[in-house]
This record gives sequence, C-alpha cells and structure tokens, in this order.
Amino acid sequence: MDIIAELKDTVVAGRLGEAKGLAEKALAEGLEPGDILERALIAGMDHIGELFKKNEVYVPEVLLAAKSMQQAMQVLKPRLVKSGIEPRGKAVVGTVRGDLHDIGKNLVAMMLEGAGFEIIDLGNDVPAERFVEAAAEHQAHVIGMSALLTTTMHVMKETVDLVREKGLAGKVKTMVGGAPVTRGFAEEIGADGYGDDAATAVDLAKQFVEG
Amino acid sequence: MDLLELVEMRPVLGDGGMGTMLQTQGLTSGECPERWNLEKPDAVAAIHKAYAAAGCDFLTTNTFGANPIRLSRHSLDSRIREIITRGVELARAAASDGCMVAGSVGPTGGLLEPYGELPSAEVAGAFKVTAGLLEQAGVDFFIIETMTDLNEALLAARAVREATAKPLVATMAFTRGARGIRTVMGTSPEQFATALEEAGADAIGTNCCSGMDEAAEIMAEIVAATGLPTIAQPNAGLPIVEGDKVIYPESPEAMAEGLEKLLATGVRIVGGCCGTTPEHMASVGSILKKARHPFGVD
Repeated sequence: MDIIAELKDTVVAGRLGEAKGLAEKALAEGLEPGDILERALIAGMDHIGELFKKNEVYVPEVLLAAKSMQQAMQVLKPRLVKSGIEPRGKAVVGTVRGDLHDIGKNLVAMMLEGAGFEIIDLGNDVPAERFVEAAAEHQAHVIGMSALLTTTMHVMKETVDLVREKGLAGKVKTMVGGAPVTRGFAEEIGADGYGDDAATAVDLAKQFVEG
Repeated sequence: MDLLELVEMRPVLGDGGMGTMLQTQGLTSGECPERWNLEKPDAVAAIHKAYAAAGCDFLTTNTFGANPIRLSRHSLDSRIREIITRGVELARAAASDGCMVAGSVGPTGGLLEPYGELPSAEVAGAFKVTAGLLEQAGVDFFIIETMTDLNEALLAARAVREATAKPLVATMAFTRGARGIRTVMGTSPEQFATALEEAGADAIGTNCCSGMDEAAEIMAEIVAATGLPTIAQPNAGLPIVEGDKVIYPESPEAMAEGLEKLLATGVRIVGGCCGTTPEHMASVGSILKKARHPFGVD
C-alpha cells in the first residue's frame, strides 16, 4: 500500500498516534504537503463523513478520525503555510450565547478542518456580536452556529440579522444546526443553510465557498 | 415497599419532565436548573407536588446535572452537597402516601477519552461524588438518565452500585436512524441491556425519545434483550419551534392513547421526559392503573 493510502486508512480507522509518523514519512518521501492533505486527510475525512451520514459509524468514530487527522496536520501545517497553500475557506464556529453544549460544535469544527477549512473556534456562550466581529476580522466565508437548548436559538436570528446590518450578507454565509434546530427554523430566521448533522454542515460549507 | 416489589405487583407511574417545567416557571437559557434547588426551592417543590397530586408513584430529584463536571461549567461545583441534599429534601417533602423519591443521575455533558477529552477516572470520580451524596440524602432508588455513551452509563452504574444496594434504574436516549435504533454514540438497545444488566441495574429502559410510538419501538428491542423490569419515559412528541418558543406537541390524551402499544411490549414503568407535565402523567396514569399484570396477579 502506498503511503497516501496508508495515511488515509489510518485517519478513517481513527488510529491515534500513527497519523503523525505517516505524515512525516510521506513528506520525507518527497510528496507535496498539499497532495498529502488532499488525497489522504481530506479524502479520509470525506470517507468517514459518508459513513457517518449512512449511520455506519457514529460520533466516537468520527471524533477519533478527526483527532487522527489533527495529529497529521501538526506536521503538515507549517509545510502548507510555507508552500503558500491556502485553506479551502475560513469558518467561524461557536455555540450560541447561553448555551454551554459544545459536543456538536466541536464535531462540526473538526470535520470542517478535515475538509480543508481554517477554523476560528469561538467556543461556547458566544453572542451575536462576537460571531460577526470574528467573521469580519478573519474575512471568514462561513459562520457556523450551534445550539442544543431551545431557549438559546434566538441568538442565531440575532447573528443573521447583524450580518445583514453590517453589510456582510453574501460575503459571509450563515449556517445553523443542533438538536432543536430544524430546516424550517433556519429558513424562518433567514440563515443561508441548515446542517442536519455534522457531515451535512461540511457539505454546506463547501458549497458556500465553491459558490 | 421498594420499587422492585411495586413493579411486581402493578404497572408503575413515573413523573414527567422537570427541566421543561422549570422553563415554564422562568428558567432561562443556559441557566443551571439545579441552582433552583438553592435559589428558587418553592418552584421546584411546586412541580414535585403537582406530580404527586397527579398520582405518580415516584418523584425524580432535580439533580440531573448535579455532578462535579457539569456543575463546574456554572462554577457551582463547590456547592454540590447543598444542591443534592436540598434537591432530595424538596422531592421528599412532596412525596406522601408511599410515593418514592428517585435520585436522578444525568450525564457529565462531556465526552470520554479517547474520542473526547475526559479521562474515565475523572468521570468515575464525579459519579462517585453524586451517588454518594444522593445516598446520604436518602433517596429510595437511583435513576441514571439520558445517557448516550454506554461507557459513561457504565461508569455511573458502577458508582451507584458501589454507593448503595438500593434499586438502580438506567435509561438511555435512543433514536431510530437509517441502520436501526441507536444512541447518537452508536449504542444499540441490546448492547445497553446486556452491559447494564451485568453492571447491576435492576430496571432498564429509555427516556428522552420522541413520543410514545418511538418509545414502543425502542422498548420492543430492550424487552427482547433483558429479563429485567423495563421503563419508558418519552418526551411529549418531537419538539416544534414556533418563534422563539419550543412546543412539545403530544397532548396528555395522545400520550394516554399511545400507552396501550407501549405496554404491549412488556414495559412496567411509564413516566415522561421533556415537555411532559403533571397533566400528561395524570392522563397516562388513569389508563396505566387499569392495566392488568401480565400474569394476572391483580
């Protein structure tokens, strides 16, 4: 098996502690960092995302894959920067104000990173202003908001409204998700997208940057 | 009479939602529900009393999030003893005439290693604290609820088993996906039933599923996998969002209508979770108490 296939399999299987060494080996063999990212890490995360969508794997497997991908990224990142490879896009993510649940948000953040995005993770309890400020500051393409509590979902609307108010509509796309959030709610508040699960959120973000 | 003796005699009526009831009383977004045991005990007591008046056989303490890991997110971990002690007192004061007090143990809200960041030992330690305090405060039995990760449910069950010989009920939040019934972490009803039985649970089942019909589907699989008494505590349907409000659409009458199908699976304990109210439990109770023991004892 070639090194790219081996690294991809390691990511898919979520074998912690192996991806970093394989990424180093791939670089040592003279492979381009962008190539390793695309064909091993992103391809591996794509694959696990597909399995997740089909319920063939669940949250733990996706998290393990993402952790394994991140281990390889530690090695690749400096090289990617050096070779001037731009991330696919930038995404500001956070759990909305009043909400301390971050499992879903972390899952989306890791899968977005796996898809080649640069992530600006604002953590949890994030107010609308903070989302919009961060998006403007980093010139982000996407704002991803998560809520697990029904009582915090209105912050998503505040953020969407504020994006418009600040004249950022169109420049940065908003997407929402979380247990109580529905497609109907997303449409009602005027969000650009609704992620039914983490894998769908990644598909959405990709569509946003590819236009 | 303890829970297990009662279950042998007749179907048992649990209580309904606490968190969603507190929200109707003004609990706000992100606020710690267990803080109300200290700061708004009258509101918690009133909910317990309403469930007792609805004929519930047990009242579940407002201690779902009362573990050191979850409370630390609200900087309340140093007050865990007061929160749990007061929580049990509030339920006990409302429980009269043979009504029991169930000590609620919910998940930590974090994820275990290796997929998450919490070491098993830390989670085990957190549940040990909670189980010990509930035992000291004198609950009648324990209920581990809304678990999605089997490993976390097992850590909680072992902590309770070490703290007490009292009955232990354990429920997980299952849902139907493309590949059958699982929790979001991928645990199947059968894996859950086998593992919890081995860990010393006395009754097992599901809670926080979307309504009576889904509960019946889940319980059919759980009953098939265990010889233990079983319990279902569904939500009042799948929540609908209207403006900034969330409505659980299953009415008390609809919940009672769904009961027959649920009992047909063999379930012996029926209560409610999110969106259920004392009215729901009174409605379910009116039918439940007419249901005969499968072996015709009563």
